[in-house]
Amino acid sequence: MSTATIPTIQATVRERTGSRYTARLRAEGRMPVVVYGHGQEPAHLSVDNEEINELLHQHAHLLNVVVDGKEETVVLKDAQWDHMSSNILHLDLARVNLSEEVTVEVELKFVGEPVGLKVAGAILEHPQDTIEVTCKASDIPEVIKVDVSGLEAGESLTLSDLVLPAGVTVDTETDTVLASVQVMAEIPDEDETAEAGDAEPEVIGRPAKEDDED
Amino acid sequence: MPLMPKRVRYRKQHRKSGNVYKGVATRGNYVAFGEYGLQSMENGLLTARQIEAGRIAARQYVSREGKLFVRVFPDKPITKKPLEQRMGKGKAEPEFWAAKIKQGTVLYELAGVPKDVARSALLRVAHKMPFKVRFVERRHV
Repeated sequence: MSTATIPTIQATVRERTGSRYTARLRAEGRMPVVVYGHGQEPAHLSVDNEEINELLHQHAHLLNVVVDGKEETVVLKDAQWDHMSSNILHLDLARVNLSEEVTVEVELKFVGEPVGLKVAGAILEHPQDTIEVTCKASDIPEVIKVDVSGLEAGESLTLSDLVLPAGVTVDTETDTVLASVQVMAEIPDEDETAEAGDAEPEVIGRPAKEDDED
Repeated sequence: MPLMPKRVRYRKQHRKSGNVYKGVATRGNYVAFGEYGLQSMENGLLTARQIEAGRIAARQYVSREGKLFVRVFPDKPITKKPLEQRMGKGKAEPEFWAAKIKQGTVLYELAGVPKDVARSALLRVAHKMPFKVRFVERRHV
């Protein structure tokens, strides 16, 4: 993301903090955020909910937060979700210089149709859809594209196969599997007659019942 | 065969007063393994038979495609007195196993199938569930 394309968002200072006041803010369509870092006092702010969600949807990692005419560049550190995982409740934003190195989670975008998917029962598995990268704040990629088109059935693509953008490094082990094409084993039909109505789990600490010989 | 624990510390557990499981899910409330999931909108008990019925419904719809994850496990024994039994004489024997479900819990997940197939498969599962559920996708920030 070049410096020119860092989105700007207007923020207002939260006069009062605490669950009661943040709940009122959310009801007004605003999201509470905290900005910290660089040895300065943390700032409790609020931003427009719709605006910030739109920016996050566009994979924005860096933001220019404007408070009372003063602009600060921040990087997204953490997000708190509600219990239904549908709304973001709060954001942690860390002050950052564009020339300093930061570690952020970047989304992996899997492109291409693996050739191995033509095999019956084959599926593309990707155990993780984000990756932690270290780079200059100005070089944070929006997404990292992973080309899976060459994957045959039974093959996997590891971190060492990933082509990273210039200036981006990863700290994760290079044998971490990013994507694999697995052929699902035939699922045996469950024996309906094997009704486990009487089956009971073993009780810890109690000796198993033995048939009395006496 | 319905799910149940292999080993337990005690055969019987207390029943919640009024059988109401309060609260919201603070864990297991997002799609973690697959790409799509079925999320509970209400609280309650999900019996081992219902979990199995849902699993079969999804598995039959997607046949050999995709990977299905069952995110809940029935670890609570539920006792039941026999019919025409007089009250008292102690707690009855365990009848079945159930999972305690809180609002927000992701019950099933599907991976490796297109969105429309996952939606149709999980809709069939939804019909087997004893409470309101909804289709969810993996969240991104």
